Amino acid sequence: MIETKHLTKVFGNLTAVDDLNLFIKQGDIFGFIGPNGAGKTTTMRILVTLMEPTRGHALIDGLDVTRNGQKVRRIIGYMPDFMGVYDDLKVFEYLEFFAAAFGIERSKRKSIVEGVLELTDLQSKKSATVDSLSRGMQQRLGLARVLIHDPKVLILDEPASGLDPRARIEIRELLKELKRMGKTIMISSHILSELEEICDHVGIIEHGQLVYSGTIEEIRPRLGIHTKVRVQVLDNQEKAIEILAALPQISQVQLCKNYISVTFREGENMDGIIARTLVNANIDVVAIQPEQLKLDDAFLQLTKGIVH
Amino acid sequence: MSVSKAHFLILFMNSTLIDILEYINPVRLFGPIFAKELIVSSRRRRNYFVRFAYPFFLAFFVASAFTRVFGYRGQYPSVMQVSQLAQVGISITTAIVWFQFIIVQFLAVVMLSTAISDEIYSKTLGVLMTTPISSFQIVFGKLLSKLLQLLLLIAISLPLLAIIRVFGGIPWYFVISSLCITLTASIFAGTISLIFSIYNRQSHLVISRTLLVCFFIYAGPLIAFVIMREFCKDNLHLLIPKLGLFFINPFMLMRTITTAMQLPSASIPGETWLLHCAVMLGLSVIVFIWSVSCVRKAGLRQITGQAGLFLTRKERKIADKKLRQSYSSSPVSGKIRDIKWHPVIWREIANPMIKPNRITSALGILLSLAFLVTAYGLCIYYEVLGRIVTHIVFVLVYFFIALIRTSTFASMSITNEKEARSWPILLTSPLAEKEIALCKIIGSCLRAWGYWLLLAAHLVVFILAGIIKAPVFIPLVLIAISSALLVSSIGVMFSSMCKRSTTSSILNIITFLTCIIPVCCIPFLYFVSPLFAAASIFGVWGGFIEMFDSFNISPNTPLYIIKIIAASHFSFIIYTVIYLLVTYGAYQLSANHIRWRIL
Ligand SMILES: Nc1ncnc2c1ncn2[C@@H]1O[C@H](COP(=O)(O)OP(=O)(O)O)[C@@H](O)[C@H]1O
Ligand SMILES: [Mg+2]
Repeated sequence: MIETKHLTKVFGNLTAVDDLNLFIKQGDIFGFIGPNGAGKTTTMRILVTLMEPTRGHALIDGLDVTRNGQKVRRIIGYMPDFMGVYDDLKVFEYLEFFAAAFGIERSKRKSIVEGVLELTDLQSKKSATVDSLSRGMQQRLGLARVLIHDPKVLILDEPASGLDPRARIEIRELLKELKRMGKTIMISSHILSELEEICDHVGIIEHGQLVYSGTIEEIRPRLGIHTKVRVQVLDNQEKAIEILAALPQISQVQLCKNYISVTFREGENMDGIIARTLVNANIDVVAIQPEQLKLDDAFLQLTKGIVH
Repeated sequence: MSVSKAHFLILFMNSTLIDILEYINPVRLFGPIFAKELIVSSRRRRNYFVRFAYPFFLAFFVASAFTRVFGYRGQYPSVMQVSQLAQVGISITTAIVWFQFIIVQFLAVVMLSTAISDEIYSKTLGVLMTTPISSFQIVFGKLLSKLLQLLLLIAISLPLLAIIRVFGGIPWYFVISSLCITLTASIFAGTISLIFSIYNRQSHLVISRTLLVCFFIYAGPLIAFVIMREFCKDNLHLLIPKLGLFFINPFMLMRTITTAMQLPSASIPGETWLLHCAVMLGLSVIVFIWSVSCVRKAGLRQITGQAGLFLTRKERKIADKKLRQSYSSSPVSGKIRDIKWHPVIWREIANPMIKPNRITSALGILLSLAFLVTAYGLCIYYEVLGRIVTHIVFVLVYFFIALIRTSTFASMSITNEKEARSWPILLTSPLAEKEIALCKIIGSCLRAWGYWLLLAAHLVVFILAGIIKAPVFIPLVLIAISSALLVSSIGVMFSSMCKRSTTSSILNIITFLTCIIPVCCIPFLYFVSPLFAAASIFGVWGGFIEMFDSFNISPNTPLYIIKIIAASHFSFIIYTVIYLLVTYGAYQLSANHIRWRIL
């Protein structure tokens, strides 16, 4: 659905996007991740026809964005990383304005606007002015606007930045709903864990270059990040450590305050082995708990080599 | 006196002196804002532009004054006598001094029109309030840094004036007094602009309000005086305030000075202009102190995060209430407007209708009504309503106001959206560039409909009254439409090319002043100006062909042919065609620049 080939954008002597090759399948949610200044916004601006690439090209639904700008604009919905200031337009007027700009017939506009307001849960705000909305609501309004012409592709630039956890969850739920509706979504963020739950694929960009692309699950082994579990035993901690350290699958055993942190070797199957071993050694196991996959750590590790 | 006492006294005096020096220490007085302003302004592209454009226009203006002097006499420098040369020197000096007087005041108003609102808008004023920088330093820093730039501009013309003095006949005295008057008038207008910029974000509103206030301050006493003299003809003591007018009206004083320069025998007493400058400075200080306290309040309000910084107290209350309602998630009442036209046109026109500033707009309407009534009343009083010339003046005034409004609306139409950052969003809609450009042009024209309505009403009433000849109507309407499109398309063109409203509106107003109003008296432009076109069409079709007699143009020159064409009945077709052609060009240019410098 979205494809870039050797996409490059140069500003003066700064290469903001450097030979970027992306491929996003139809119906996917693609997380576009990178630290500030990595070139996410620039890539997205090229995709939504606001900028022209210096080299390479980008296709959306098979249409070249530089040559078929008009057609591309009909099938995409773009939410920029800033919410503009709108001089006293009311929420409903704002949406109707864009409905008109997208060439929706007058007779249908009202019902369409009502529809997106319902989807984004903003009906109660329809006669409030846009600038009186809270940040979370403005973000939802931005999504409502993006949806007004029922685009196939959504390109959302940091939709969750600056939101409180609750508003984040609301946006996330909304995105899941949109995925169910079959839309292809490209969403950027500088926080990897933010997208962990909703994305099918992620691409990690750093200094304009794609350093990783694939599913979230694939990230772990690719990064050489080891799976860790926390083991809590009733007593005999020293003995437990001894036994576990002897196992060939386990690379590291560490005693933390009240639990033992166990790190597996790369690619090893860990199912049940700890529990089995310990129980066989007559040690009472209180709990075995996988440590949270620290995506942000992974992200840092991934980009460490490149940051100068 | 004991030694220790003397010591103590010296010590005391020393420490007081240090205190005083500390107090007037330039860094402390000017503050970091001054430094910041200087650094920032030296980086701004538009300041380079002003520094480049000003001498350019000055040279242009001098050149056109030069050709005018020689053109009228039909003589050339080789056959000029020394006394005539002095005369030339005087007229060119007059031209420069006036150019400077007008432009520097205008630039002061423009430069300071966003001085405080920029800080409020970027939410830095509140931050400044939490630092040890005083609001005095903020206002003073802003004012001084801009004035410094203006001084720089004034300095540019000094060598020119010095060269022209070689021609003889111009005492330094006149040059200095005119410069001082220019400077104090600029300071005064600048401080007024600054105080308005605390309460208004849009620079064109600030500028027009400042000009209006200055007009009332300068002309108000004059008008009152004229009216009073009219009604009590024999009470001579009423003449006394006339001298007082000089102290407050720099324009009158400048006129007196320049006419005095042309009559070598006459001279004006030095006290007059010195006193005038002192009065203007005093007034500026009052406005300055006032704005310091306003800035403080505005900044504190920003910190405490109350709504609607740009509103009056009552409106702020309403806005606060609205805000509370919207936070408490109860539906806010209020009419939702229907989008009846093309959305881009709708947005152009819908904007001004919902200005929350009801009180000021009502005041504006009242003032304009009072103005209209006075104007028509005076015409009736002097029994001049039956004369064609009166109506030409009315038509010109309406044309001028409508055109300048259209022009400013147009010059902001795109830059405003760029500044509000809603422009990129619109550009990701499938609206074509040409469509957007066209809608912006038409929308800006429609925004000034009120003024055109006034003109139409004037025409209809006086046609029905049998004073204006009916055939005038159609050609005049054609000219009105085509010239509105002309200025609108030029404004939109500038707007599409610039990033900031201030830049585009200044570029636009300069173009407007030089081309649309025949200020520069550049012969050809004179004849294509819409204002001239309106007047001449009124003259031709309204039966006032004599108006062309005032142009003493020698036959067999290109200008003479133009004059003949202008005086003919079908000239309006030519004008319309010319305007529409230029409109088309500007429209193409703007359509090509719609996606230019958008981010
Ligand atoms: N219009 C522009 N002109 C010059 N440099 C730009 C422009 N837009 C972005 N950049 C530069 O390109 C780089 C990438 O920016 P951006 O795409 O906004 O990063 P991100 O969105 O990932 O934070 C940054 O270093 C930024 O300074
Ligand atoms: Mg970004």
